[in-house]
Amino acid sequence: MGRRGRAHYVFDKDLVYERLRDLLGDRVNREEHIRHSYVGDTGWLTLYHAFKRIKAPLPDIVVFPKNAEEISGILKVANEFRVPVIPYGGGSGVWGGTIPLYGGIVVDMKLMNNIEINEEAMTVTAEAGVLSYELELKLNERGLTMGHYPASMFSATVGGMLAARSSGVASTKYGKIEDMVLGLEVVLPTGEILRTPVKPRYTGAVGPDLVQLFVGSEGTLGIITRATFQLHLLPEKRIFSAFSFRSLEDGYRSVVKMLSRVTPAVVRLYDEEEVMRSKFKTYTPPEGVRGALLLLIFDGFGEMPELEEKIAREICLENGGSYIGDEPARKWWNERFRHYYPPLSPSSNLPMIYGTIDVAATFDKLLKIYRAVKEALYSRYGDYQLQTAAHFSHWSKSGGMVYLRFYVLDPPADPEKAIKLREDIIETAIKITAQMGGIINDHHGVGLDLGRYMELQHGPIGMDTLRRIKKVLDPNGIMNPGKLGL
Amino acid sequence: MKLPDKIMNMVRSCTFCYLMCRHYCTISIVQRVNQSTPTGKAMILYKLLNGEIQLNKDVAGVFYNCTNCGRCYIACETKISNPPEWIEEARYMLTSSGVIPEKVKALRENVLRHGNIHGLSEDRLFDKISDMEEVCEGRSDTLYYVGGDIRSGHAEIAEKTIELFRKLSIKVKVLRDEPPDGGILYILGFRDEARRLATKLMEEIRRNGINRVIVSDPLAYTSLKIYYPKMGIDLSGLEIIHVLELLSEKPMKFDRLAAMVVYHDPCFLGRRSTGVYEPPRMLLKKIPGLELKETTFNRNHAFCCGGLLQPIDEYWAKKVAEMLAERLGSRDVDFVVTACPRCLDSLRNIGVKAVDIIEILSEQYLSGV
Repeated sequence: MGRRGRAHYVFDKDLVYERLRDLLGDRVNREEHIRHSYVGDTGWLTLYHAFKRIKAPLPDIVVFPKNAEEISGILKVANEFRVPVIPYGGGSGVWGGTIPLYGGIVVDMKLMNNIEINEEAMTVTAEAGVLSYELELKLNERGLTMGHYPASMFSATVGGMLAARSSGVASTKYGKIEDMVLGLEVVLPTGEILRTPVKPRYTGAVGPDLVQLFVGSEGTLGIITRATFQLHLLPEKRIFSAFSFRSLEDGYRSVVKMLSRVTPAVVRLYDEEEVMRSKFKTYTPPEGVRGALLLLIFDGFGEMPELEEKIAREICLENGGSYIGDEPARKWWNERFRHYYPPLSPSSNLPMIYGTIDVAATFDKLLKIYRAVKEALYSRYGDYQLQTAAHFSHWSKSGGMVYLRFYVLDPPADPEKAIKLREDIIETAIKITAQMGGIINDHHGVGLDLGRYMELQHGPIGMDTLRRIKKVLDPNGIMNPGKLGL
Repeated sequence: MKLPDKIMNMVRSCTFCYLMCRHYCTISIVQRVNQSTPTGKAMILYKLLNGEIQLNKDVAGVFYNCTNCGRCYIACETKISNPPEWIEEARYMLTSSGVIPEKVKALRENVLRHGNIHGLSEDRLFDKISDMEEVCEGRSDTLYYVGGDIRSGHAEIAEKTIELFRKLSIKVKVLRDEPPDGGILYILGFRDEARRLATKLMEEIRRNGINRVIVSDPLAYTSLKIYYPKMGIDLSGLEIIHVLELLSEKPMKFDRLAAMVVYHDPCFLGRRSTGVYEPPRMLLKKIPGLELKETTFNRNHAFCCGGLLQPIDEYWAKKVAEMLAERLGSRDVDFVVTACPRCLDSLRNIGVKAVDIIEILSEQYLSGV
């Protein structure tokens, strides 16, 4: 896993353990098997190490705090002894954001699981350790929703979703987590507890937004302990619609046109490889027909979803699309979690190399980036039997995301070579994306794997700005070191 | 230490899964830590078998930190792995190695010495039923197998069951010295002892010329139906039926009972067993005035009461029961109805009014039709 950078942490583990025990009692653990339970996330790097039995960094201590005050105490101890601190939610990330690269203290946030719904304000305030599923279930029971449905919702936490800028499948209508959050409670690296005001979306001229400083900070600037989100009424209906296209360009053009006219909850445009590869077979094209598949879902009240679907359908039909009914989209919605379970999940095929390049761009660039990345990957890594499958989703009014999965069917047996090959593939895709003006990650975060490209993304001045912010907030560099390129 | 290939494939599937059952696993929902989840347990087992983690009693405890409820398997959309199955296999491996938590050893002793999980020393069946001797001595090819947890802790359930049998002219025999069915020992990994008890019970059944066994305790029912075939016990020519399955087929009239109730599906009558979901509902719906409320998570999605965890970890068993009470909406009904002695204990221990379905049926019974 290679410890990168110059960070070096030496501390008296027994003394730190005792100090933490004074604060948290038996909610401090350093038993071997518990440390092994917090080695990272569900990303390829973590799982490959486990699969190949390669020694990976372990945390020295795992703590289970129950409130912000306890976390404040933990961080004060960590500062005193210069101990790395890794905030840990569901561990469902994929870029190695929770790998305890230099050991230290893993702070499992899941005991902080209080939920308060304010129906009058149409907000919910949840502690960082609440699972996405738990939150949505509680809201649904009251006829409410956040509209946030990430694939990881069974295991991801509120804090983790905010820290890694999570996006759900219905983000085109409801936004990403950063669009939903109205206020935060954050324990700063030096132990102070920051509570921002709860500010309705699109309001407030009170200087830079402190909430958005911590969203996406991946545990490098503090520990998010509580957040307030905006709510919606649970829609009374969902309208499903699907179209096939003879070319990806036709489908792409249809989506771009419809997004300035209607707001679907879900828009998923699949390339030919993903249509053919899809293990849960939402749609099998007729013999001899290749092209693209578009799944649309509209939700809401009264006649609105039908009206929006009608407009979207007209656009698709005018742009070379064929209506193929509602079933493919309905089936996808009902079975969308299925291919994350073994044996359908990519991780079931370890030691195969796999990964996702989820990059974003404005309408004018996104399709071009997809083409360039795909061409480069096939031409450079064809010898390893590389395959790709992609879909475009998480669209907004100003652009979208392409989610390009790659699979290396014939990976090198030597772990060092396999890890290096995966890094090369990612680097190829990321560099092309950045050079063409794209955003190198849409909603999986940066973590360990993409940290080295942060400067490429933000430029030297942008990166220096981030480093200065980090230095002021975290003078001893204890917060999730080695992540986010910081 | 080694596990069979089929089991190892399941462990591998769970180890490299994206934690897709964390939201459903009972103990994981209440404890909220990685090592409680099936994925967490699988990873620890995987590394234990690889030699990356050393075995000690705390590590062994990970595999007993489970309510055995099987909700994880319900969450698994591909059914590629059945965590209760590989967890039971891991426990078998652990008991063979001799490294097991003290409370688990004590639970084993309770079953072996007293025939019940709590170590209650009295068989209260004879206190409750004045002519019990006659029932035991009587001739019938139908055995009513009560189960140790009912005989010692909830003899009233057996009393009311026998009353109903009499009213319905169902002639049964009860074993005076009922050998424990052994299922709980199988679950805990003590397979040799479990098989010995099962063999002993089956000898008694065969010696008495029994061809039908009616079972009260859901765990005993599951033992006979599910675990005995796994243990290689020959059940040929023997019909095994749960008492509620039998009663639901009998025409009966009941007196009015104005009450709103919710039915809690015991794990070992439902998803861990043969899915006896409808018989209790059919019976309750026959009672005039009784309003049966259903919850979002019922039948195979029902929450667990934590009863089997109780002798091993009282604190977390109570937390599990509290979660069940909340999910059942126990405060919004007159009482909770269930069909398992451990579910009754778990709910009553936290102050929830819980009643065994047999008690209601017996109280409200008017006549056979």
